[in-house]
Amino acid sequence: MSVDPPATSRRLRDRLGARFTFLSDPGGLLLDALNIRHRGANEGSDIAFPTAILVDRWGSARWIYESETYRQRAEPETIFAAIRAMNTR
Amino acid sequence: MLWVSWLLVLACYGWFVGGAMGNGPLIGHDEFIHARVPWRVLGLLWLGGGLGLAVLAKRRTLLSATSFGLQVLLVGFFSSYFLQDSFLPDHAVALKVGEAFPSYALLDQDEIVHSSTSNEPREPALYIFYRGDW
Repeated sequence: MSVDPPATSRRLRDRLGARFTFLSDPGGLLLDALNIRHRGANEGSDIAFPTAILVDRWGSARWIYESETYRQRAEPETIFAAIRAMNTR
Repeated sequence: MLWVSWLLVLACYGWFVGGAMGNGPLIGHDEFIHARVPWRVLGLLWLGGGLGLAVLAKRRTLLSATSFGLQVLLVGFFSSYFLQDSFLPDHAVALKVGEAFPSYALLDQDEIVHSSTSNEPREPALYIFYRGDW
C-alpha cells in the first residue's frame, strides 16, 4: 500500500513480477486513519511511514510492525512467524 | 595516504550500491537493512575524509585540495543520506493488536476497487505500507 497512483504501482508490479496486490491511497485516507502519514518526506509530498500490519479474517490487527528508519524492514522470517502464530490461535 | 583515503570513501560507495542492490560486498546487506544507523560504514567514510584532510594539511597542492574537495562532497552526501534516513520523526501507529483495521475502498494497480468494512469476514491479509516507487 502506498500513495502511488495505480499506473505507478502497475509499473512496479510488472518490474518486480510481483503477484500480490498493490493498493493505492493517493489521498492518504488510510494513512491518516492509522496515523502513519509522513508529511513532506518525499520531495515535499507525503508518504507512509514504513509499517506492516497482519489482519485476521475478522478484520482485527494481529501483528504490527513499525520501522525506525526507511532502510529497516520487517524480515520475511518475522512475518512468517507472525502468520504461523495467528494460524495456531 | 591519499590513495588510502580514496579507497575508504569508495569502499563505502561500493557498500552503498551493493547494499541497495541486495548483495553488499564489503559489510553486507544485513547492516543496510537491519541497522538503524550504519555506524561501521559511516566510521569508514569519516576516516577516509579525515585522511584526505590530513593529506591536504601535509601537502597543500592542487591535487590534494581537489581530492579533498571531492571527498567533502561525497562524505557530506552519504552522511546526510544515512543520518537523515536513520531517524524518522516520532510517530505511533493508531492501531493496537486486537483492534479493528480501518475500513477502506481503494484502487489496486489494475484500477479495480478493493473494499473492506470492519465487521465483515474476509481473507486474512498482510498490509505493507511502503514509501512508493522511486
